[in-house]
Amino acid sequence: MNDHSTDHALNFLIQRWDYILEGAAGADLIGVNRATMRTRIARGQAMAMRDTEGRERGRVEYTPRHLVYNMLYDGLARYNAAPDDQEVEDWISGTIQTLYNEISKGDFNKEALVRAVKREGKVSLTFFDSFDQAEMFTGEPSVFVPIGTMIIRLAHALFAKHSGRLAGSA
Amino acid sequence: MIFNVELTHFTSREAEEICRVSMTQQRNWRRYGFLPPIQGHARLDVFDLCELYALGLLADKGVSPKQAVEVVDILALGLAWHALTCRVAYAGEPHLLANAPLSEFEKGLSDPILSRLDRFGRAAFRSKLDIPGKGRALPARFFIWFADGTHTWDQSVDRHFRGSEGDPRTAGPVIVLDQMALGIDLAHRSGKALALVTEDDNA
Repeated sequence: MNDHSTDHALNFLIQRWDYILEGAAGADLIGVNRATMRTRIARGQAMAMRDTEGRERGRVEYTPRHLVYNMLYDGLARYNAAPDDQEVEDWISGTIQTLYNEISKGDFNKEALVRAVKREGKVSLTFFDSFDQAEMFTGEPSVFVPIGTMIIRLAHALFAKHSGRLAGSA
Repeated sequence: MIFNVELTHFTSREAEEICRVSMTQQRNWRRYGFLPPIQGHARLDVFDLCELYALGLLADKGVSPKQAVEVVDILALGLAWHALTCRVAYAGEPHLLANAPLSEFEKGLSDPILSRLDRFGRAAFRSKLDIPGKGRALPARFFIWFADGTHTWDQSVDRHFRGSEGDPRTAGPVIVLDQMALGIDLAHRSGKALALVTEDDNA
């Protein structure tokens, strides 16, 4: 994956950020078990398109924004660091928006990562620019989610999948 | 001056306070073979404490004891190694503690302790004790657990991730345990010294 193809993939991702992507089978793309994803959606722990009544649609569909959110959430939940209150969930949503802004402006940091620690049973999340920066704050048992790398891999996967479809239908 | 270093023993209740693993959980883990069995009353030394602590840390992060038990002994050695580098880990006559440098105490960590160790732990402690001709293998500072259940040790998390761009494991969430920080923290939280330093009467 060179820089040129990564730019293409990120452009593809950002242009369709809030659009349902055909073939974006959410769980498979981000490496989450389908049953787990359904459970999370039912519990309100994962993002999916919902109808105007607030129910998720019969056929679960995702936008890239949903996929990035779910990917980060899964990374945390896998190690008992899932958000346990609204404040932390809002922090994740805010971080996703920041990442979107950075990709849009072309200054996306592929080394970006999120650290989760538990203090007195509460999950606390911090955003870092790199492991070099984060390494000074590893005194507590930590979970690191390399969200920058993960977004790039997701962008490449979506781009490759969708390019194939476009080429096939032409 | 020659020293003896005798490891302090802790009860299960004290271990519960220090390692934040309930006595019931300790008992269950011993029953299922994730920790060594104990006959009679528990008398846990720093190595036992660190094993319990390591298992607890991984369990708290969602790693099953069945998976964790594969690495917990080596992880415990790293924690113990760092815990025993703290001055607060040692108690004894004030004049002994005041006059002798830390490395002198560590020379007292002799064979009975080394016999508790295995694999690179022996080498690590020997290198710490600076026994000539035994090789040097210090435990790396960071323990990294990947989402696929594999693990590694490295002196720097940053360096590890920079050097492994092609490794798919580094494109997913990881658990990072700083053995140095956690070992030192354990030495401070233990409430009493981990080892007692005395003068060797036979010397």
